[in-house]
Amino acid sequence: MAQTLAVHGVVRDNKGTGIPGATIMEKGTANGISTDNEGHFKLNVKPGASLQISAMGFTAKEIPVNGQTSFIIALSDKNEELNEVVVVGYGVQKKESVVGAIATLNSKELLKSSSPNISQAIAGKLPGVFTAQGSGAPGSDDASIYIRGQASFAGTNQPLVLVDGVERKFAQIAPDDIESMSVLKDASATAVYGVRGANGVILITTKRGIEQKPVVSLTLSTQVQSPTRKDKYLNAYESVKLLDEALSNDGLTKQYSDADLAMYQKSVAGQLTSSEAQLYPNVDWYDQVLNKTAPAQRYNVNIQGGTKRLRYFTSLEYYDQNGLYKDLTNSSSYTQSSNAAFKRYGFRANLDFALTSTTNLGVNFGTRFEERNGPNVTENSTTKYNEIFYELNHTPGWLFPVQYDNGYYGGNSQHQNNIVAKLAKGGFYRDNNTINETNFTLNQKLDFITKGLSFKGMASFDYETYYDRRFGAGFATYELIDRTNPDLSDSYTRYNEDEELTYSGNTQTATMKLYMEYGLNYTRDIGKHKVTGLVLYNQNDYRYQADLARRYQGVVGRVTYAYDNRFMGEFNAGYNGSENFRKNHRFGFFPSASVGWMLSNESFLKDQRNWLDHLKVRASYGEVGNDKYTVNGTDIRFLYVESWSWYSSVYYTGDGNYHTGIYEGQYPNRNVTWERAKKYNLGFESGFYKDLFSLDVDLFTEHRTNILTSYLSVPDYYGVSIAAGNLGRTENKGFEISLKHHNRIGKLDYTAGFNFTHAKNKILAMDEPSGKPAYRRNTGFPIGQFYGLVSEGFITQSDIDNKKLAKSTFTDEVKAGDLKYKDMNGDGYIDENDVTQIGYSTVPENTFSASVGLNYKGWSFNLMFQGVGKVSRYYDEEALFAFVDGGKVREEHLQRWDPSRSEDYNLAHAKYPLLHYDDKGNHNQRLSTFFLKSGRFVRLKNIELGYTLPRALTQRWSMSEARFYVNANNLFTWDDLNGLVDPESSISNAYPIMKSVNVGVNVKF
Amino acid sequence: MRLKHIIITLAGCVTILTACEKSKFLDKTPSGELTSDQVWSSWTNTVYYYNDTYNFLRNGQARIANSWMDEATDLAEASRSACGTRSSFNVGDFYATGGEAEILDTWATYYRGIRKVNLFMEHIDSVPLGTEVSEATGEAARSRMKAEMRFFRAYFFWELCLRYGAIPIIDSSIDPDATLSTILAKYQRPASVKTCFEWVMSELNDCYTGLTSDNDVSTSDLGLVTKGTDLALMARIKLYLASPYYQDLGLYSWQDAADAAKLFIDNFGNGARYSLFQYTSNYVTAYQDAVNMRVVSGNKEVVFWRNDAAGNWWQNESPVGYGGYGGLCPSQTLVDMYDMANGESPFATYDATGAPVYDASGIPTVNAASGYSEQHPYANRDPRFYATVLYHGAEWWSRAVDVSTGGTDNPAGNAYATPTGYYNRKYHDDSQTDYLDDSKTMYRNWIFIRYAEVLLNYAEAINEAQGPTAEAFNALQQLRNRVGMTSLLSARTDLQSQSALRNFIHKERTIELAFEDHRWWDVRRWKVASEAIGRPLYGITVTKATDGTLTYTRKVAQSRVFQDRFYLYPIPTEEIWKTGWSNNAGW
Repeated sequence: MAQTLAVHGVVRDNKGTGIPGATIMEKGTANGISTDNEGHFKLNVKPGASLQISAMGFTAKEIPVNGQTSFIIALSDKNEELNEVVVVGYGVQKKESVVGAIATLNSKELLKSSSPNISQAIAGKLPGVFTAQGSGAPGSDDASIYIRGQASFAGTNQPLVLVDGVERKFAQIAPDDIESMSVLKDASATAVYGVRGANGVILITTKRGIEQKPVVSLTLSTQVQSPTRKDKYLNAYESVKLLDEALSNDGLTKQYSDADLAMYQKSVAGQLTSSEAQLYPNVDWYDQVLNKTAPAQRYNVNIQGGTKRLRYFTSLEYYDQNGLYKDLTNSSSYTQSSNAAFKRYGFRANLDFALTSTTNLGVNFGTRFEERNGPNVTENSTTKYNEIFYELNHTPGWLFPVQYDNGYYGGNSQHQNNIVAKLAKGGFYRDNNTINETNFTLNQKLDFITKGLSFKGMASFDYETYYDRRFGAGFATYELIDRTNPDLSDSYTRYNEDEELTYSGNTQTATMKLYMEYGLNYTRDIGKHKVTGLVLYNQNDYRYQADLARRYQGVVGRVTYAYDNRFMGEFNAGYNGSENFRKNHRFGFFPSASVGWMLSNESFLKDQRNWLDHLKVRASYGEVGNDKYTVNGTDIRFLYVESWSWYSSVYYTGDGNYHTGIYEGQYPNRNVTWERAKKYNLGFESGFYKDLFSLDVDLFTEHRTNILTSYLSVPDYYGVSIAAGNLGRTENKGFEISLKHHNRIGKLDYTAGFNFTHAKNKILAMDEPSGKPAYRRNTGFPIGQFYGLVSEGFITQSDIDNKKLAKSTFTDEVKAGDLKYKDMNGDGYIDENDVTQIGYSTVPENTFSASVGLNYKGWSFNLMFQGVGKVSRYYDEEALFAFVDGGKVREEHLQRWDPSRSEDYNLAHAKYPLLHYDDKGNHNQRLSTFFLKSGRFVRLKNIELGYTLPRALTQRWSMSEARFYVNANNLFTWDDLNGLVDPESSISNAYPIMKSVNVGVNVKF
Repeated sequence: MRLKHIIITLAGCVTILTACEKSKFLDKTPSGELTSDQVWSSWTNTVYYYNDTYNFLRNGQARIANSWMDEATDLAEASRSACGTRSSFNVGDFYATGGEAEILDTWATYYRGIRKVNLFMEHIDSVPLGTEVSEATGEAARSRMKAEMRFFRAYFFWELCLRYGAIPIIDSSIDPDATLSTILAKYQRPASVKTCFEWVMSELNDCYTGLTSDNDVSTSDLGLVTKGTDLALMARIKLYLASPYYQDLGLYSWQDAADAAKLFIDNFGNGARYSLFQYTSNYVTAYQDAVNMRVVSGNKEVVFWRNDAAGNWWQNESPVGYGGYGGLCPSQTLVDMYDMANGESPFATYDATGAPVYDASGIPTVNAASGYSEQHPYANRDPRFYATVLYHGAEWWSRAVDVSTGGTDNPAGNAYATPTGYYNRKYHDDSQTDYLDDSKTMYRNWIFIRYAEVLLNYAEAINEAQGPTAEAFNALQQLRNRVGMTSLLSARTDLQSQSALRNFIHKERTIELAFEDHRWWDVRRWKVASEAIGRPLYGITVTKATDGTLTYTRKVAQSRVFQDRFYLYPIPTEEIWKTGWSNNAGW
């Protein structure tokens, strides 16, 4: 009988936590055992045997016994291992050999946000990336993304986003489907995208199958959303009091008598009968239209697994988000509800077939069905303008009731669009968006030609159809004229007419994308030399409706070399062209070079390994391009061609004798080409004391040249619009700091992180006319800089008496308590020529986030604060000003310059100038330093508490994991806006930004 | 990798790169757009290009951000603060967003039109006729189109010079590829606007022969520029240039202006082609139809107009009680300018602005002999008043307008209700009874010149040249007769001096052409802009006692601002920065 040896030990994960249920097998036998709840095991084996250790979700290990009896075995998490690999342009790289500036985010981090919208969920999680959400409307709440601020004024500054290698919309992808995100920031990382890489690139990779038994993961969550800000409009009584004050300030007749005021006071107190209240209404339009909260649910199930031959990841997602509007239609059909709703159905199947031992075929199917429905109102997805919120912010609450006692909806000629009536009777819309995305990828190893060579080819076909149906009806509103007889229909002026609901048409669009790439990869380690190479051809054909296809074509090349894991060098290049430019001007070569030095692998630091985990410095320089030119959100294409346009009926003579017209639309710029970015990056990565601390720092500088911009120095008397030229130059400088701390005290495992990004840009040139005075120039100032009047406080009576004030052209006469402005050009007039650079830009210079994570036994707690600084905000008039266009008045306006008080009192206390009615307030109601707001804020972006049931318990129910969590987004915000609007939003007539609380469970089988 | 492989790889790369450059994958495929060669090599396309020139004729109705040029004068005010002129020109802010469009767009639009003509003139002679057009037809069309294009260029330039003063004459197309400094050096502001006007007039003279004669225009071609258009425009320009503001240029005398108007009247007027639109009764409608009736429907009064398709109704321009937004609201000053139906003037004295002389509190002295009463101000007035103004008690769309305080058309707390106590009736479709709805349409052609103006031009010029002659009275009498005011003006004792008749003519011109974009220019050329536009805009408050008694109280509807620099627009600031020019005086 062979001699046996009693071995024992513990199986742990990388963090040192015992892994229960891991299997320990003696190699080549049926002898084996599972670990207990703490990960301990005991087993008798032959002294010369090998132990095979495996556990679900971990990479299996084999250890020779060699007579040893006690083992501490660390298994590495498969997910974490994946994180050791970084997705880069057209490939992957080992994290340690990366020499570009790349930020990554894994699935786990992403899922800590309760937001099912990916563009929102990444907020604060990636150094160098800033997101701003403009609207919280269901299904239309994508955030804009800026990588390292902005550097161009030609386009949108939005990065190129690729999902599985193809340019795709990503915000509505099921969060559980995402394996990783890589944000490519410097030229070293983005050069391969050439003419499209200048604003940075985001690579999103969806999950793929792994060789394991199928793991089913099920997530159920339910959410409650509510606006982060409350409206602060005054009630009817206070409003009319201030209204009369404004009228009397302007020398106009007061609209309300003392008796009226008394009635309004009673109305506010709820002391009026219904028939009196309709004469003295006190309508809170927000209350009438909005619910306090809106629910949402998300369900996701996915299966990941595979065999040697076939690996698969498939998922199903359902997300249902409701809007804030009340259902005022009394309709039983959900699609006819006046509330808005968004539903997302997602399906995905990512398959990998090992066709031969050297051939792998990958197939991705991603399908999404998005359904939006809501009231028949205007909701502009570009400007974020929302008709309902416009009306809520504009319709006074003291003029007419929502409905008179006889059922008539209230209104007047200015406010014919009673929004309650519109929601109840004005109709609804429903739209569907079907997105089909497919990838076919073929990998063939070509070791028979030369070792390490492989071929990769991909073709993708995406198809998106959008269908929008709208039903609408006119509706009447009524203004009570004869107030003594509200019961008689003759006492009213009627506006518009009640109509039957009719089909008001549909919009249908289809988008088709054909993309393909094929190329060769080469990877070879020869001794201490590691060499990789890539050459790849790609072409992109994007068709929207019957528009001219948008096309790109190019070749990508990369060579990397590493010696002894100490020195790394990389050369990347994109050679590609855009159909936007003329032959000979359309292809550009975009090279980048980068070097890295892993100092910690040097012999002179080998001895420091007890405290120094890793230390790397890297530097890169490269050039990338941008071919996009947008004006007011519209892509302007083909600047190089003449465009003489048709006009089917430009004029007519006689009676209906129509004539076709032709006009010279654009004088071409034949030499137009892409914008070029020269990017420098210097990086430093370090880790200390076994991940106790890590510090990464990146410094960057970018020079953009050839920015497409219109010829601002060409006089209008040329009489033709000249296509934009490559005239602009900017620079963008800054740094990123990322600090992490990870420690374990007993069973408490905790992490803390801090990210800070500073990016400041400056326009160096933009063809400004030579005569433009310095105080109005854009050159020398950031993109998006605000321009306005410089306010020097309030005008006092002595200012007026001394007659030294520059004459305001905004009003016939200024009074004490109005704003005093600086006469910038000294011409004695205050007018639009006195605006100058004020405040900051619309995109913050500083962004930061701080996060803490705690794990104790099964409990986990995470929170993240996010904030921005050095940014300005200016909101729509009705958010800032009183009685604009005869409109409303807010709480802040109570702190106005009060003419019934002394000037000294007002100078000390007034926070708002003298009240005026309607356009009499034009002098004060301007974009000036007085009303330009600081947009800085700090907010508790995410907070999450989770509990994972003990494995022993879950295993009993044949689950591998069960986790419950409650998390919240945007729970608290600190800012300088005094409750005006959510600081992330840049306008006030948008659907509000929401905070949400989410309860969920995730179970894995 | 061996050397062989490297060479193969590199060769492969080079092949791919060159293949990319050569492939047509990125070439722009044909779309609906044309190139200049395609335009100038096709007769049809060239005609289409010419057609588009007509689209540069601007419609003045509510053009300036929902407001009218006349709302920036003493004739009217916009009810809504959102209307352009109200918060710009009227408070003295020419750069404000509302008025800015007028300053910037006028400059840009007309210079675009001028380039359009220049390009046409440079290419038209070499455009092949093709097979579909015969040599004779083609040559005739060529010469006619050339004449019309030159007319337009002169007209556009005239409109520019009126506003901006001396500006560069651009009579050949600018090559955008030329260096900026060459162009800037070539196009400077002339020392005097005189140079500009001389060029305009010589162009208008030269194009005359090539234009179609008015009697030869077929019905389907109505709307084209004709010989009559040219003569009428020249008559107007001569009148303007003979006026006080331009007199010092020494270009035209009053007699020149009178002769020019007379030439039109003799050649085309008096029914030869153009005449005042008449009905034998129903004088209010006669005046309305003179403006509203389309030329194709037999309106012979209209000489030069923009022949538009039917446009939507004017929700923007109608009384609030009818579902409108107010819009253009006539002033008390305009109302005061209408005579009594018996031909007498309701007030004792008038000044050169055409308005009665107001005392310090804005009240004029009543001429009791006329029968006018401040407590029944709308009784027995000139029929043109009823056709132009909706006043308290006016019957319209099956009910009486009620602008009394709190009334249907002037309710409390309605920021769109009339600030003056009046609404606009001119240009409205009178026949309706329903509430306002912009989905319904009506014809609203914009008139630049109608025969009535030519008569007024003549009357004014001849009175200035020769005093109150019979010809002057005769021209004015025709306009009065058309609306049934047949009492003889020549018999009115208060009009027998040149200066009294001058003021009277200014008044007649203002009311006859109210809201037709004349007032702004007239008060400037008469050099009375600071009196007319600087005085407060007057309105009326109508209060209804419980017993139904009405009280009319004059009020100041808006205080106004006028500075001498307002005689001209500022040249757009950006253009000054670009060119280094100095701007107009005071700007």
